[in-house]
Amino acid sequence: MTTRTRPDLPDDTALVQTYRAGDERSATELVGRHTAALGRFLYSSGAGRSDVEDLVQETFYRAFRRLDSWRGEAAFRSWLFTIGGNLLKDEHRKRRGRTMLSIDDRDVPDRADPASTLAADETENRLQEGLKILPRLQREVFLMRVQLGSEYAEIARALGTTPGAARVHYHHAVKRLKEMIK
Amino acid sequence: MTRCEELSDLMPEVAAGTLNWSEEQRLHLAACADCGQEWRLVSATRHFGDDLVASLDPSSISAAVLVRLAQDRRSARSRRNWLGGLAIAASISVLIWTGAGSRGHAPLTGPATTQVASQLTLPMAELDSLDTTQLQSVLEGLDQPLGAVASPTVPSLGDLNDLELERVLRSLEA
Repeated sequence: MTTRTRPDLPDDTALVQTYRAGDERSATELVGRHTAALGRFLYSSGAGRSDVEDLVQETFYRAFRRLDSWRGEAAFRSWLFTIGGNLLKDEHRKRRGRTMLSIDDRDVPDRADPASTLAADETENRLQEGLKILPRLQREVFLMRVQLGSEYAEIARALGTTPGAARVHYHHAVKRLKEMIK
Repeated sequence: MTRCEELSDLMPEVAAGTLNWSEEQRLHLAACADCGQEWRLVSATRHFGDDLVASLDPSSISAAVLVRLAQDRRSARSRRNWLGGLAIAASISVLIWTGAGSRGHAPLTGPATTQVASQLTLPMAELDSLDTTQLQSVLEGLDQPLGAVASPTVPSLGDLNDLELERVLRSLEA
């Protein structure tokens, strides 16, 4: 799947090529296209609210540093998600070794009307808890399918598995999440 | 494929807004508790963290990323320059060492020496202002043995008497 914002705009592959040829505006365009999806993915995968922006920045930084390793087999956005997923895993590992405090700061009130958003928060909290305890592959397949709308073949290419296995992971994830958020 | 499986496959696209439920599918969702629950899960996941995502500023993220990448390029360049300097220093050392080893024999004019010398680029700003004739005379001066360049008006140490030698020694110690 290639993400295009408008038919007259260059696709991700073309932007990567022009960036590599020295056009920094292409990098800005790519960041603009994928920041929201990447931020949502990282937050859904267990990143704390206050960490998401830094993690998004770090993911893009790592991606641009190793653009050579993106061969266009998977969509640029799927490739970003895998980099973000690896980064988050490393961060969790580092923090576990450093502190026993929770890294999750979702409870920080940042909404004007807590009462009206209580139910939504509750669902979101339970969903995030559920997503956190899913095996990584199940979680990433589920998020790529639901948040990106990627086909199983595309997910399989990005995550190094088969389309059949990706479908199975998706259904396992759905089953477990349904039980958790009942 | 059952109706539940069919709807399950369509849920991500409908949640993304690229497809709509047909009336028949909508009725099934309302009647089937399992599908209804899955649909709520998929919709909630699709819109998960909407407020957070809206607060992200792609332009500041992009600017920060580009600054870091530029810093990386600068460090890589200075690392390359440093290594280049090191390589030049090493080459000069090799040349001096080879020259010392061959002192008293033929001058260093073999093909290997010429090749190494041709790869050396030593910035010498003070030579930039000289014309070809002046550069040629500098080169000739460098090519001559040290004794040959000494000015004929300066006597060698062997020509000095004890008193003069004593004076030279004192001036060197001073």
